[in-house]
Amino acid sequence: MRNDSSCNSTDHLVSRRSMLGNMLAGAAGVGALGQFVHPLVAKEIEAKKKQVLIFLLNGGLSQFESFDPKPNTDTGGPFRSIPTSVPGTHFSELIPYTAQVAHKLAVVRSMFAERVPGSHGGAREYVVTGRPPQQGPYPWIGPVYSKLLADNEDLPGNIHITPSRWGPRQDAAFLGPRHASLVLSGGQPPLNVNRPEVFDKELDESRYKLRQIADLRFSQRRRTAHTEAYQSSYDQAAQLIRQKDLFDVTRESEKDQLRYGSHDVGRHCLLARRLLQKGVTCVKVTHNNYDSHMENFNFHLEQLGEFDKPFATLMQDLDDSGALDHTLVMLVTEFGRTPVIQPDNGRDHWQDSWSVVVGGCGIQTGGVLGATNDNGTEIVDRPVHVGEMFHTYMRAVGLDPTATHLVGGNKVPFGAPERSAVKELLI
Amino acid sequence: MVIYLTTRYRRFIRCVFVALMSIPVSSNAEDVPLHQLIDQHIDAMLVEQKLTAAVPSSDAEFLRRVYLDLTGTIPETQTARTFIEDSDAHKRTKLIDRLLASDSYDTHMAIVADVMLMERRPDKDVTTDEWRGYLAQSFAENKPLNILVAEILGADGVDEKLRPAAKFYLDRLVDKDVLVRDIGRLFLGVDLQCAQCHNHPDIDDYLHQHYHGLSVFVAGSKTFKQPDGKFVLQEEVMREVEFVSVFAPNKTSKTGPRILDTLMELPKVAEGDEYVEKPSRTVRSVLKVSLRKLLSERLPSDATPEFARAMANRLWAMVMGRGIVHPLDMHHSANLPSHPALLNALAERLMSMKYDVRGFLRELTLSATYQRSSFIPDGVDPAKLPEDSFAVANVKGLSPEQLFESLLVATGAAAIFEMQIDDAISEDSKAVAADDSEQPDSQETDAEKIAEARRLKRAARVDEFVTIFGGVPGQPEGEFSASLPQALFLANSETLSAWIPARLDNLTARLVALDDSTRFADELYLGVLTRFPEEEERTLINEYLESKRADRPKAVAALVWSLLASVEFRLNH
Amino acid sequence: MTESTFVPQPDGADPIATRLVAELKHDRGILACRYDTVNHFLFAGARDYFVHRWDLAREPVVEPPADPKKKPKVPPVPVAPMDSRIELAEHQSWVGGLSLFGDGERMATGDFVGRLVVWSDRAGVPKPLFSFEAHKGSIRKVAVSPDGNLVATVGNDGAVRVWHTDSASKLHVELLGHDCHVYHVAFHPDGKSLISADLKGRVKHWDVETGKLVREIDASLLYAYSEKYEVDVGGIRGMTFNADGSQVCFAGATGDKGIAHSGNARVLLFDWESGRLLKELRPEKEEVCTAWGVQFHPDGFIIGSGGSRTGGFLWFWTPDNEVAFHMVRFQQRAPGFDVDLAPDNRTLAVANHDGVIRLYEMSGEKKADLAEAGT
Repeated sequence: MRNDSSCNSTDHLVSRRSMLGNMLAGAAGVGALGQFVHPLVAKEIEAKKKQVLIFLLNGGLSQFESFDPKPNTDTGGPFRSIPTSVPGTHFSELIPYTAQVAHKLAVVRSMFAERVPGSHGGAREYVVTGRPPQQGPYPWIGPVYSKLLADNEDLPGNIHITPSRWGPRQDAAFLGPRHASLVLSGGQPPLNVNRPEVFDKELDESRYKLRQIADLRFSQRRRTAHTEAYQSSYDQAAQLIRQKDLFDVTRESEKDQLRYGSHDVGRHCLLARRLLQKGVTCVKVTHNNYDSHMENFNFHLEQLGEFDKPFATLMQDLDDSGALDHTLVMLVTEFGRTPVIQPDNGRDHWQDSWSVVVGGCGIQTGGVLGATNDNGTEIVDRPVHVGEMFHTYMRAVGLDPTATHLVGGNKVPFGAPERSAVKELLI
Repeated sequence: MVIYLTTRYRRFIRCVFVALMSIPVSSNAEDVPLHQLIDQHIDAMLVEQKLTAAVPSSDAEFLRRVYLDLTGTIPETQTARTFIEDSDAHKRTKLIDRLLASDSYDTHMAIVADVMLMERRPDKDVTTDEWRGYLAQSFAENKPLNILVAEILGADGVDEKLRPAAKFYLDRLVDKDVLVRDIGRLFLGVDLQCAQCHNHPDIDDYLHQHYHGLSVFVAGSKTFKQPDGKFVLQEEVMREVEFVSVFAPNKTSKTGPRILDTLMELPKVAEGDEYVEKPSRTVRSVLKVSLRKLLSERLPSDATPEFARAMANRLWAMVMGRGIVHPLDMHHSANLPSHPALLNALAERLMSMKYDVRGFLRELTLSATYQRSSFIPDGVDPAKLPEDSFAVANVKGLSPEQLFESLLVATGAAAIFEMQIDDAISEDSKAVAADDSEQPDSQETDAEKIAEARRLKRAARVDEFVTIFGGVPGQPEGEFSASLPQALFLANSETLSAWIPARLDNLTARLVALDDSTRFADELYLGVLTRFPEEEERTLINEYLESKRADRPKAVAALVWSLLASVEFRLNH
Repeated sequence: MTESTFVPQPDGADPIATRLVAELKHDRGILACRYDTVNHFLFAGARDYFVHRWDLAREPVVEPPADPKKKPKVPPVPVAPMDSRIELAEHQSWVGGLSLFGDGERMATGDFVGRLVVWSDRAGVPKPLFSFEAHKGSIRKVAVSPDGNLVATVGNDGAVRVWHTDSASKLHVELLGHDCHVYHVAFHPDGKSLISADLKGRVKHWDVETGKLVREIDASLLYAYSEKYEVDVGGIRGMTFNADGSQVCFAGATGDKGIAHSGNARVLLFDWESGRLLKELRPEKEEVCTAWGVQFHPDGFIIGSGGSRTGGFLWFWTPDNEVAFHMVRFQQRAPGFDVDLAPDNRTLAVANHDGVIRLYEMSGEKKADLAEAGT
């Protein structure tokens, strides 16, 4: 954490003078200001630092057409199941590439949650906060990781790669906008990342320095919490403006761009890899849209046809580089889809049983936890509640879900206190 | 099962200083002006807690604060200079009165009330524009707050004049659960949300029957689509609701309409004779005894003291930066007011003043408590000076609208902004012209249409700020916090980048033309921060400008930006 | 309101009198059904791995009511005896493609994992003549040439393939050009032309002999790209020529309502010669649903079947009027995925999502029927 940028010490008058001196001497980006404006850490991040990669299959992925196929049953749909790299475990034929990395994953086929208000929004919130939305809002898991794991102040702790036309979401709740997801809508750089013409590079540095000096003066003899967060937001902004290529996926090799594919989710997965490599703590990729009330089979074929390969490629790459050892990967969706095939060949929302997938850091992979019955209408083994998964996601990266956030002087447990982690999934 | 309700960062179990509840204040409180009464209560508590209060604010500090609180923007340079240099002993009182009488007060209060009541929900059946127009008119007339709320709670959307008031219901889709929760939170200061399924797990006073009792008032209300396509409210018979607790599923209870502990008697109506217009597909159903009307008569009135208490607390928080009950909608025994006697006094005065908002705000802003400095007293550890002591003026983040207006004033970019709007409108009309082979009749493009287009363009720019700086839709505005997208916006956005560089008569242009370094610094600091610079700041500016002589206009622009982007500008302190 | 432009011929079919006469029950949604015009059978593909054959010679029976004391409000519908249906096993997924040869012997079926099966002895004990993976991914439809020498298949791999039927899996020609899932295929009655239609509403006209693309017909009214969901929606679901091949119909839905709701049901009537859209046939009141099946009736009207979860329908149009002159709304809220016309030209079979094939007669109720239902 930042330590001394805006405490109430009188030292600031001194440091301000020296800063001014440096600035006037024309020193660019070094000197006393270096303590506020770090250059981006370009090297690979250290192995021990924990990172998280989240895939959100938005709309509600069908468990039947993915991780819990039930071919040749009344509910099963037209697709076959195929063997995976884990002997005895079958996935739907719609995800052949993912099937090849199954040994790097743990599949939970027995997810469930109570129905909550707000349909998709509510269910999604339940999955990513571990708490019923009507009790919230609680911070989503990305902001939680940003708060608890991010130690690089110069990078956003939590970046969300979304389909185009998605705006920012206030997903940090009481953790504050500081930890809210930085949204890369359509995989594009954040808004307002280009310096306006009026400020050239040199002047740009000056204005940030002057701004900071003004903040230091203000923070003397005032409560400092506001100023700290404020300063930090500008430090990040200054860094991003200088390091826009962080978001530039075309800087990756042509070979990799081909491997991941030219469609959006391919580019987004490659961008996710790039951001993780650069040291971003939590990266989330949202893939639209699985809400197939109509033509479930066609739409899953189309969506998973896009998603399958880049997802598996990214898993493979993370494994090859050793990053999977310190990177937790989760693939979540707000709920599953009904066993019953609806009149328009669709499947509706289903919170009684669905599948999620975890892998990487801290996870016991290569297995399947829980089971549904022959035609997937109910869980018959080891039901896992969404609240338990939230705890598991915490434990996997070494966080204690029973520890607490301090909110306005009050302790709020990270995870729902009535739940606990799924031990079978953890190493 | 233990349920931890953080509920929007709000919280419940805080240490309760019940012992502090009875503190002696002035014996005959009735005769004392409210602003003095406030100071008596606050000061007594400071003595009790052995806390040191901050010194009175400087004129500059007070001026900026009261401008932002009552008009939603910072003052112009000349206004600041005149006020600070004015030697009139009563200038603060005069300023408060002037601001309360200004048009800006009406529009600012309309925004405040809108954000409070609608919490930035997207528009549905009533536009924000119509709604704010109605609110601004209400504040201009100084419509008593109970009347305003009665209009809102009694609205059916049929009467053209009062149609905007129906936004509260219509834009919540007349959803019973949302309405019960929000009526409780906003007008009674209590959040009944989790009393919906059972008696509140943590808070004994939020009884299940409170929730369902309130729901009876709105449970019969539904939307009705008029032939003209507009949605209005209709009402069907509802006299009581049954409810079952999840903790005791076998036990069914009933309640009639109830506001917290007060059960309402309903006039007897013979069965089959309840309607003026019976429900049908084509006709809006109207009851002889409307429960919504009953709610609008009983809730915002002296008969429901919780209403005055909640309203007093909200107005207090608006200017003092924090409620006496805080969060504002969490009044219950585990979250007691910081100054219970003061809150009671405020509520009583609001009632005796007949819910006169302007008069009430006048008293609040006249108080020494309001007019304290935000500087922590020398030698005091800020960590030991709780915000709810009001020993020091609490800082508040500028709302998106306050930030927008203040940036516009500070940069002196009104004329540039008008040109931006002109450009945007002419872009639009070019696109239309290119689209349409038939040219629209130019006679028809009257002044009204242009004004409308300008207003929309302006609103779109403000919306840009709301998206980035505003709170979560459907939730109360959170406390001040900074984020990366906000910093990027202030640093690089097209909107702001057009206002800062020297152009026309904007601030940077005026500064560039000033050779005298003292006047330069004064103009800059008065314009942006509503104060004169300190000696150190003057030195800094001079040294900086000396070093950047090559391109003075750009150097000045960078300097202007640095103050606009400073935390001092971003906060109301 | 549009006046009906249809007048039944003496002794002809009377669509306005359409009534449900029998139910062929199964427990899985029925995707396709075809009358055997030579033998007295009805064949169907369903959401299971079988081809189903009903023996229509077996008289439907009225099932005894569940509660004998309660008199049913509507007369019960006769149901085909349970043992009038046999299941033919060979497929490995749902069977959506079904086409009968004119020889009374053979039949071609295709499933959702790309398997094509050509069956022999369809009136006796049907057996696969040959069976192989003809496409990567689903086969959506199959079509048999008028002379019975060729079978065309289309699938999710974007390919159109034409197979010889005299020996196992001998490819006559592969027709490439669709860049998305191909949903439908049909031979022109002259046997020289073949059309294939895809998800994006593009119809390709091929020369069967040479395999050359002759032209494209634009039926993309039945397609939309959903910006919100970033997916293609719609496609050509039903397709058929009239008897002399002068007109062709495409069934589907127009507009983008995302992936939770269909667009509005439409049947597009085209002139074959010019490739011109003649009429955009629609229900009298817009229905958020898809037209799945379409047939020409020899009496000069067009029959569509379709629906969604909000309701299932039969529509009847004359070629000169966009608006259906009659509509039958099903009791069950489920679409009719396919419709076929019986050899008597009076009876319609509708394959329904709810697992039942319903037979409708386009004629007034006979007195005898009434008396029977009344007892």
